[in-house]
Amino acid sequence: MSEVEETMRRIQSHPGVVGVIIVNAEGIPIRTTLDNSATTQYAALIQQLSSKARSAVRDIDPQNDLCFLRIRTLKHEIMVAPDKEYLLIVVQNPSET
Amino acid sequence: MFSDAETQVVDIISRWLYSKSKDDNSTQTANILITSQGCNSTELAEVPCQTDETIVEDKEMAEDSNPSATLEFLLRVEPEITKILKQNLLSHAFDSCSLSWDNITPDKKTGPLFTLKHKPPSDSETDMPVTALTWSATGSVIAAGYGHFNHIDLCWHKSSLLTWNLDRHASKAADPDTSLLVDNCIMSLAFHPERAVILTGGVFNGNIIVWDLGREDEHAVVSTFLLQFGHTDPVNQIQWIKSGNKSRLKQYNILSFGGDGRIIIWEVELVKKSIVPMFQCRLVTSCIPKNIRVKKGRAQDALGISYAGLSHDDSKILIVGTEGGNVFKCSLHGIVLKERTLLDKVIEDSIVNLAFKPIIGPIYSVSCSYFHRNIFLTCGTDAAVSIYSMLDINPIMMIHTNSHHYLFCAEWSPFRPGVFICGSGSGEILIYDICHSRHVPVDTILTNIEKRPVYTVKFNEKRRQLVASGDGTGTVVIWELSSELCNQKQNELKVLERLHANARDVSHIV
Repeated sequence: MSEVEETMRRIQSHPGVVGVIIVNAEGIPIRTTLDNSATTQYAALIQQLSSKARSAVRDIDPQNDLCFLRIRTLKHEIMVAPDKEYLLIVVQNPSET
Repeated sequence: MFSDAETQVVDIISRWLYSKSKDDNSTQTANILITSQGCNSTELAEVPCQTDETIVEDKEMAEDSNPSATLEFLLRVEPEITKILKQNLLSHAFDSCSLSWDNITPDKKTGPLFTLKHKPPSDSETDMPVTALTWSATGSVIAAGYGHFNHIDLCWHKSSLLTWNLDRHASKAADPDTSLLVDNCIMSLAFHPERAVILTGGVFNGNIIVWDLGREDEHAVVSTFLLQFGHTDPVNQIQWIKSGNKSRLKQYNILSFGGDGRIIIWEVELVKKSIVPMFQCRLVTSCIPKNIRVKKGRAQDALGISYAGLSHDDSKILIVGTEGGNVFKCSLHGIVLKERTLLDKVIEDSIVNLAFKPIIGPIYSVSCSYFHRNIFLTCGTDAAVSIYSMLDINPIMMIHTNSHHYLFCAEWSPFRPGVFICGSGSGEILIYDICHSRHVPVDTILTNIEKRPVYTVKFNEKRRQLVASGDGTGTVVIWELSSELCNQKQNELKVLERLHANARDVSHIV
């Protein structure tokens, strides 16, 4: 097992984690622990949302930048760690213990 | 012999002709005036009124071109993510947070939104009950099938299929958008899960018809009428199931359940107008384990299927209810789909997985929970709703209604884990919320003053506040639920989980 997979496994093993996805700069998923259709949806939609969020932050203050994005939903919390080249999406169900 | 004859002289007076007086004259009609006038409208407008199919783009996974950079990124963000993941489990920040996004006034009571009435073709005919209801894929069209339940022999009724588009009607009692005549009573209907104009239905004589409401002329595209194969008894339930076929046109098959105990899977091709049986099996008495068999019957006697529901978690798991009160869990995993002919042997390997404890009298409705993979409910002539777990043959909960009327229909809410709705023989709709009370309905609505039975209820899966009901007077009512009944609250799922877990524990002790 590569070190990338190992790290993903480590994140996945936290309680309540539903899935972990790594998306590249073009918005295409490169690693995932979810099924195909869910991965495509999360990747495409969250990538758009996070680039929108980033441009909002930078429009307000050009010296500022987005460093993390958290979305709380009825069922889950979606955590997004953006980067120049990549995007890490982690979906957690916090009420599941 | 001869004698001189003397003939009389006859005078003929000459009649002189006089020349007729003539006169030249002329007449002429006025010129016919011809003018050219254009009467075409100069602007053309085309307004489509159906939504497009949603095509999900299938983006393949990309190759990880630079694994070391990926790893570097991952290691950089991991500590932060880990910190948050741990915090989330302990945080109670959102526990009491509930937002109502939908534009529903909070104190609004459940009430009728539209009342749609079928006018019988002639005055002599009595009201035809609504036998089946289905919402379209977009949630804006409701289709209702009509028929009778009191057949003595063959069905000679002319029934109809009506559809109403709720978005198109401003007035409250509108005429249907489509009205199709059907030769037999309609027993079941199902809209295609993706294509909003495709509708299938099963009728009393065992036929299955597929309608394309988008066509202008012949709406019935496909029918099993001429096939030497099919149900010989009413098609009591019909569903679309994923075929697992990659080609987009063949993505869904039809799954039909008949009063002759047969379950048939049909492959439909609308372009070629063909319908082909791909699998069939029969439910027979020998499917019931001996210890819960109520009456003795020959092992090969068919068990008439009265209702069936698909699991929402795994669409190959079916719950089938029979006219004899038996409930079965069936699985379509591992079946082989291939074209069948009349000569093929009818009975295939049984697909029954588990037989649940029967009730007395027919099962009128089965509904699988949208929120828990193992929970489903049934109702029938015992005036009670039985909630089962797929892991246990005994019901995990029985909810007895106050009246002793039959329950003709029951369905779980797609939006509230603990809410279900049932229609009784006295024309009432009972709404239960097991998170709130397990004995008393949270709301009871009378649908018709004649107290005719409510034969079918259907939740709209797209618009959370809408429920349709169809009753014995032939009236379809679209109800708007109060916001309390359609918005999920925090931790509601746990109630269902707990119910399931507790029941399992108890049954182990017993």
